[in-house]
Amino acid sequence: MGLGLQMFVNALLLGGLYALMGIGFSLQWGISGIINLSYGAMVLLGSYLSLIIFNMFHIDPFISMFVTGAILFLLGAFIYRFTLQPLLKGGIVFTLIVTFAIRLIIENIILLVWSADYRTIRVSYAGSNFQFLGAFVPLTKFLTFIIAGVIIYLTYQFMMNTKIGKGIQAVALDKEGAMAVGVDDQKMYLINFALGTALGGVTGTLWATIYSFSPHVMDVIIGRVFIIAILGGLGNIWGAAAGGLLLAFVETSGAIFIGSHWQEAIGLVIMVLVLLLRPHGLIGKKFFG
Amino acid sequence: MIKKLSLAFLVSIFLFSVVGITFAQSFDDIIKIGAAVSLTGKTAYEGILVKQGYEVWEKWVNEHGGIKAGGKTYGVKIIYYDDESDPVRGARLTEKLITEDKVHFLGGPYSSSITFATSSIGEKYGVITIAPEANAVNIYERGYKYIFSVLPPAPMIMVPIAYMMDTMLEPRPKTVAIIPANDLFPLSVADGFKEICEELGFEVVLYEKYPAGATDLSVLLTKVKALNPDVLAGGGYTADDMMIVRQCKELDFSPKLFASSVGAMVTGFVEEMGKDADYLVEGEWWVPEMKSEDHIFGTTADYIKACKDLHGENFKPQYWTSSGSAVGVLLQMAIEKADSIETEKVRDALASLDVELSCWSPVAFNEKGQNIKWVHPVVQVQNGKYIIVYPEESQGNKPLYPAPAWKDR
Repeated sequence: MGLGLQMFVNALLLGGLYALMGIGFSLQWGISGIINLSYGAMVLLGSYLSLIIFNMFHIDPFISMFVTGAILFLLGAFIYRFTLQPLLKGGIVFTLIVTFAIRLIIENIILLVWSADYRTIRVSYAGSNFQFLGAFVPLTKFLTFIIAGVIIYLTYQFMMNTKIGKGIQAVALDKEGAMAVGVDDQKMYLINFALGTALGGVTGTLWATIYSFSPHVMDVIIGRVFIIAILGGLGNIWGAAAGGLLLAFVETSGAIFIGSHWQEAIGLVIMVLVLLLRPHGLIGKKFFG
Repeated sequence: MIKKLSLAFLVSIFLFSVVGITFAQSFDDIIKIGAAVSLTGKTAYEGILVKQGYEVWEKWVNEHGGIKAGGKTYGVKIIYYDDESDPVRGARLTEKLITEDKVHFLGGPYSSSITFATSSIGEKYGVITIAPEANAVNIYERGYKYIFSVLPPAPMIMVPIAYMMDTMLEPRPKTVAIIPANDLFPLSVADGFKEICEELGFEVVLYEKYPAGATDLSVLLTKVKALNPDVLAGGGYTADDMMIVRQCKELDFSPKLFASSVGAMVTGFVEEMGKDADYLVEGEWWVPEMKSEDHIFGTTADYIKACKDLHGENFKPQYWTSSGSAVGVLLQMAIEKADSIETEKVRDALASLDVELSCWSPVAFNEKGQNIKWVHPVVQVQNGKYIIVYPEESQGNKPLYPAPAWKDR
């Protein structure tokens, strides 16, 4: 029993981070219509930004995440306005090429500034834990889980209860209809894309508190968010959250029952099954509206 | 006029010094050795370090009476080319060294893949290659007669850790869990470790691979914790070791010994991990703190001094450099033993060597040309410093065992 509970805790805590990580990507893809291949790079940029802030000002990543989130929001808005928006009419291939180019640029900047070495943010309480019913709960992972939950909830409230959030939903559901009643579609897409980027940046900061990171981690991240977004359904906040949790549980149980070296393959198998059987994702609807 | 005079003066000094160096030792003949190493391209960093090792030996031999064989005294000349980190270019240059420069012997390049190519050329022309930095097993599975390796085969790197567990640790550990990354080198290292552990009577309670590049191993480590082995061996790279140590701490699992293959002796590891890095052990091919000797350089300290004399006071030879020097030392020992520079005699002498070296761990070759003597060192992180804990004769400190629980550190 103790072992089972420990595994459940492991999966749950991992799932929280996956959920947050998946939402930004899912919003960008599902609503702004951009498959953002630079998403992993943006997440890592969040990690490295909080590393700088930590090293220079000794500010805890759980505080600096607001700063990284804000910076990434502006960066996302800038990238959307000046590279993606002019090319949207060119179709999906153009956005793929552009976001891939952005990924390469960010990757090379990271390599230039920080090299390919692995980095960690060593907060004083890293490695601390507490016991819950006999299972060990790592403190940083627990905090990350709670914060991810809060951010997901706030994002949902933003989408449901603010004018901009409703505007974003409107253009997602029916672009022409929304434009006819005076919603500025490009502005909504821009805010949505920037919001997705900010969520990515915050994820990166949280990631940095629990894992070591180097530029190659961006590939790991982009692989995961594809699976999460597809499992949950595009542009759907709760769907992406559920997708993140599901992926974490699938990986964990795969590692337990089949063997650790299969844990990544199992995620991909589930993704293919979902694509074949439920192309709109497990949470049915195309949009969260 | 003054300019001209001073120029003439400088030129004459230069000529005098060149002539002086050339004739400082009068040799009966010169042994020519060819070395195409990577001086540019992706493995240039390591290639240059190997070349610096060759240079240390070359200078030392020529300044210390050369090599005596068959009643003659030989000086040494190494001809270097840049293989541009490319196996094809390495092979072509090796052919040029043999057919045009008429070298007697070959010093190998950096990396298994380039050595794989160049050793074929050496074999074709019947010229001996001593490879400093090539331990992929497939190079030595081709039935070649003229290839010898300074590096032991890759699977041996953690083997001394098992011997240390067997002979030095009190109480003797009983159980071992091995978790390698699913990648060529980590797997072969882990297999080698598993084999020796079983041979020495340790019980391997878990052997489970994880995906290369994995970012979270808490599930696997939870499994390991449930089995509570005395020794946890992780055969991965630096990032893996960081992750394993950190997640062990999060799960409050402190194995009595954490053994790693190549991840920890990297600049920055201790910096990043802080005191959590303590107690970790790792096998190394060679470290400059070893204490061994031979009749060529003298002791390891003498060898390091020779390196500093040539490459500057701040030069600290790592195993890339010392493996290059070891190529020269082994060749010299074999020629002296054969009392000849004829290829066949030197080859047989090399094959029968069983020696201690000042610049490398002990060497003896099997019939394939692999160095199977090993007793290379085990290093432990103690108070943030890398300390040799095995073998006993090079020991800087006794191994700290068992590692205390996390809360007691």
